[in-house]
Amino acid sequence: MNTVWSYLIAFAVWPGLLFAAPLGWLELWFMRKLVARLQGRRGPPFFQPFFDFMKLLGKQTVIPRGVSRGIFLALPLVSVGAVTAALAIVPLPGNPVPSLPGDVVLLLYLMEVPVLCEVLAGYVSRSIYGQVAAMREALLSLAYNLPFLVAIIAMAQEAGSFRMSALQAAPYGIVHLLAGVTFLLALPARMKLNPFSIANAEHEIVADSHIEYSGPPLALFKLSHAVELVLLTELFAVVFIPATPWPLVNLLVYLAAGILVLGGVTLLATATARLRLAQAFRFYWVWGGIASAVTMAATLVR
Amino acid sequence: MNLIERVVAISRRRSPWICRLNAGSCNGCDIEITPLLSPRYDAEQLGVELHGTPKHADIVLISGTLTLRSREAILDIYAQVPNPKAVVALGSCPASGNVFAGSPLVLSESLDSVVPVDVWVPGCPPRPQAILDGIARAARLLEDGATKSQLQNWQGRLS
Amino acid sequence: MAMLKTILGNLLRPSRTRAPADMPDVPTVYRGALAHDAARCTACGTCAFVCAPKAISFTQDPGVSVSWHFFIGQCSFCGLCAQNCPTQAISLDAEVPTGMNSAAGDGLRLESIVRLQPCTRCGAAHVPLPDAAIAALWGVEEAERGYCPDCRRWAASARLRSAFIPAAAEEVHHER
Repeated sequence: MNTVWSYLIAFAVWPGLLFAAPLGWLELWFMRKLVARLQGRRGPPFFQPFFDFMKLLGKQTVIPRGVSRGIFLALPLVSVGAVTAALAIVPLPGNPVPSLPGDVVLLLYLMEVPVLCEVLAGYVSRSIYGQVAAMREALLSLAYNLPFLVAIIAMAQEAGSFRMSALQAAPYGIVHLLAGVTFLLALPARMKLNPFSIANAEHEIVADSHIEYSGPPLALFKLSHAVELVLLTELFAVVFIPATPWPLVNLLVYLAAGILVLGGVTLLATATARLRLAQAFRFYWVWGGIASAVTMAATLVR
Repeated sequence: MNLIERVVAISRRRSPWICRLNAGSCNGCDIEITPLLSPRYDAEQLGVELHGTPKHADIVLISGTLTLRSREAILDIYAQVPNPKAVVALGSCPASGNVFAGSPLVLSESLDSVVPVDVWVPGCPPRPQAILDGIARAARLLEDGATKSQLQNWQGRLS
Repeated sequence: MAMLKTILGNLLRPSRTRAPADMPDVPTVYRGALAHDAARCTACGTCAFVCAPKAISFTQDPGVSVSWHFFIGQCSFCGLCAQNCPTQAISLDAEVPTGMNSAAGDGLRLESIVRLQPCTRCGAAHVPLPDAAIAALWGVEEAERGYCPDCRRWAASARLRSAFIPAAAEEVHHER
């Protein structure tokens, strides 16, 4: 009973929805504001992502003709659920969930679910633009998952365990740096930011794979993206930033590291143009592949 | 009106997403929308986002002379915008047909006879600040529940 | 690298965005909505004739007034009407017309009424000429100010006649 409650709390309160959603909105606002500032604009007001979410909640849902109602409405729910569950596993300070053996594998699986949901959302919507976006998303995930998975698996190899807590507690070394760089390489594509934003190329294929979504389901997809931002930045911080013995200091360091990573990624996104699918694919298989090979070699050499 | 409804109403004013619809325009009005996204006018300070799909939009900006063929497209796209929604007509053309009025394939009538228009932005083309002002007015109407489509739905529910 | 320099420069500078209440001024030659001065209008119809989209029209209430109508939703703001107006009765505001939400659903309509005046000689209702135009064109005689176009024509021909046949001047005065 106690364990069930701790899972529920981790999912719903901390580090789950209740805290991750505002944190995600804060990070979204930070990114939009930073992009605006880098372009010399004023940018959105502080509560903008929250207002976007609330407004979408209050809108009507238009379901296209010939689309299965159940799967159309289930996809955003599954996406938010999976991302939040993944975040609940990340051993942030104060997370009530006990450490499971092999929770890294569960985490990596749960992190693929929102990508799958986006691909499916594009295909079920019966929109040609949605299908193009879904195809690009699926292809790109084959590319960026190479450095992303290798970075985490190299850390597991380094720690000798597929436990998140072991990864967090692994003694700091050269592998951390190499795997961290490899992880950062995959980050822009996972966040669907520029140069690797071909999957959600707005104004080129009209919108991303949520083109036919409106109202609360779209709000849930936006929420899922916000929580995913928190998940990716905090995962980076937990795995690659050395932990201190004080939980509160750890928390502040993780949050600061997350904001810093977001700032760097946003800077890259503002300074670059969108790569074509073949270029992005080649980038990840060549440079991501080299980085992955170097990282794995470093874990084996030790 | 409870708290959540109030927050949603405020959100409608603070986050108007727009979708642009060219009903046969000379492109003058559409080009004047582009400066809205530039550093000088920056529509994002009002929470405006330009979306390509009507499914994501709250406010439809309709520009251009109405033609026999674009009438169907306007009705189709207007029907795809989820409620509550507002329509802003840009420039002189939607109001009357402007210099094209009387041409064989041009509907020489107001856009109001096709879809309910909430705000008319005068100009040929209107200046960006006039367009921004029109969007802000439409967003305020959305907050008050006073756009024509909202009023019609409300009356429809009563009867 | 040049891009990086530009965007980092932007980050350090204040933003260039103007608030909605603080929008840049329009140029002084900006062509905004029309303004009409009924006191100068002679209802000649030149503006309605040159207006390509037919935004300007005239209606009359016979014997009482002539109305000048302007519909902003049909205007291309080309300025031809102001350019061609012989008495400069039409001017274009140098400010941005703002969004409208009129009950009629069709934006700004201006109506400017030019009152007809009875001719001081024959009593026929006519559009009075603006003072400046009278001074420039006929100006001289005080009595001709309130004349209708027919009476002005009559007065002009009478003047001509009296210049050739001085004796006829007597008859003219007797006639009325």
